[in-house]
Amino acid sequence: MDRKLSANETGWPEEGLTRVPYDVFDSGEIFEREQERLFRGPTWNYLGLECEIPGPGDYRLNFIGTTPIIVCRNGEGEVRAFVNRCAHRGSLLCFRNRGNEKVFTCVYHNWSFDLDGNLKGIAFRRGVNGQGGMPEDFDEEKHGLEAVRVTTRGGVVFGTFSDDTPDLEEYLGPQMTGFIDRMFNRPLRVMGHYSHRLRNNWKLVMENVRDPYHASILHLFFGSFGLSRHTMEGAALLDDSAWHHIVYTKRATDDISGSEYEGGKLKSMKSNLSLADPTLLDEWQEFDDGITNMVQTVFPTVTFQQITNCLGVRHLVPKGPDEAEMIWTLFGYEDDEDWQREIRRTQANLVGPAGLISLEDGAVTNFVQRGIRGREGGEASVVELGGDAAESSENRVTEATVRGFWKGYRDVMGL
Amino acid sequence: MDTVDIRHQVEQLQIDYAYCIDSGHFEDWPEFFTDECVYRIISRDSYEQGHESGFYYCRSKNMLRDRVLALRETTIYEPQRYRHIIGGTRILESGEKRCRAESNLIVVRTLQAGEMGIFAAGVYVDTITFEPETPKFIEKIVVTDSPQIDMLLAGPL
Repeated sequence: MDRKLSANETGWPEEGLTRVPYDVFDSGEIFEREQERLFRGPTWNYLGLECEIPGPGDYRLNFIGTTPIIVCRNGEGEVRAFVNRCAHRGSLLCFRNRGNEKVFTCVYHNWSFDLDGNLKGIAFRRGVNGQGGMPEDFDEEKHGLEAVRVTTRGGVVFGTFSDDTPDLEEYLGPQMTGFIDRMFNRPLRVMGHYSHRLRNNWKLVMENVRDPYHASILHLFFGSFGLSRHTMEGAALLDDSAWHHIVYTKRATDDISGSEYEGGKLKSMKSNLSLADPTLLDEWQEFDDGITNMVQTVFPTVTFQQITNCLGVRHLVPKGPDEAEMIWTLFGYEDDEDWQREIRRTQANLVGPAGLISLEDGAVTNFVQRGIRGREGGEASVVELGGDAAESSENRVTEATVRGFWKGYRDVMGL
Repeated sequence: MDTVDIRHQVEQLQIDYAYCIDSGHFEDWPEFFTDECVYRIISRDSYEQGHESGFYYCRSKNMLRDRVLALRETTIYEPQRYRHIIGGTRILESGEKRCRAESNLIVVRTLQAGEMGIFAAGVYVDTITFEPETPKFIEKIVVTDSPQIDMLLAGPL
């Protein structure tokens, strides 16, 4: 779908962050501008985990926006990232999702590049029998791979195209950085990998993961089995820029009497249900702070989650104005014991495209994409729960965290 | 049992299993398994890397029942249907009491508006017991060729 922007071509609705023009969700023009200003702009983008490329020459593929990226470890053990595009005629340089190479050689014409992205070889550079070949003055040094600036923290790899992006710690602020350190505190071990195709604009997914309002309403399993309710202790946090967010809950800290959860007033609360095998929800206290559910986003497109002991990364890759892919990586720690691994894998039933508390997300974001079709022009969503600010609060009956996303978006996009 | 009998029993089990899911009789689905059982849906890539976590992981018949409970009571999604085509069964190991078999599967999903497409293709890696009388799955691992799920995976495969 390729729609022209309507009234908001130059401005956002005057209400500000409490309104989001629907045009941003299906405009091809906006999608192209996002690639340039947001994904090639001053943002840190998730590239993977260091444990996925443990040794020299190990690589994996990823994307920043729609741009294909190679993330690798060079001969000195440093993490490097490049655009996955041969500097000759633009072919994908690597086409396997992961592997190990001493040099990256393009299959098309055998141009080869070292693990730092330098052009090292050109097939028939000097021609054959003195005929053909590249010009004498062709300068290999000017034809390396396009490099991506890389940083790591706790084994998480981020990349940016822009020299203007501040250091990751400054980008995140101390509180958000602290939560990364909390979860990525020792060597990781990947426990699962899968992808989820979403038939909707990527920003609907980021709104969804930053939206604590829907969690215990849409996801009936959540409220019914007491995993997360608004009556539990928790918080909805934003950094000073409001670009990044954390929502957390401390399970079993609530009393639902007198609340909308009591006596079936809320459709989402089916308190008469019980599990035939309650070991599905077996858990142990993973962190000293008592937090049992935590969802953290780093603007623009990565989410770190702790659903009791199910830990994971959800990396969102935009594919078009109305299509996106969520790539999931579930992990534990290298020092996990067998019983801990078993609990993590059992709790993995809660998340992903078949997740007992997340399956509906793939449906509702698509419902929005379909619901906003056929507009007169100028229509916008209402994001006003908890007021109009994008600030932290202890209560989670708020859309402040969603407004924070739009603040970041508007800052970068100039909308 | 001779190999023809074993093959016949395994194929019949798969036919009944597919009918159960495709007709939406999810309550009967756990009855294809022994009380102590394992049911997983995992991508081939993850399976070959030895990953523990996939799309589904149930380690008892009661966990299968809980999946059905969730499907009926807490899960929200648009009406849709699966159609399983199962074939190419290979008996890998067999004895008097149990066998291991692999079968190909293709699942076509049809959404309420009529859109249909191949939703999953892969292999069932099954361990089947013939005791006490009707064959049941001790373990069923659904290894999907694609690591990707389109929108959502609600009902079992």
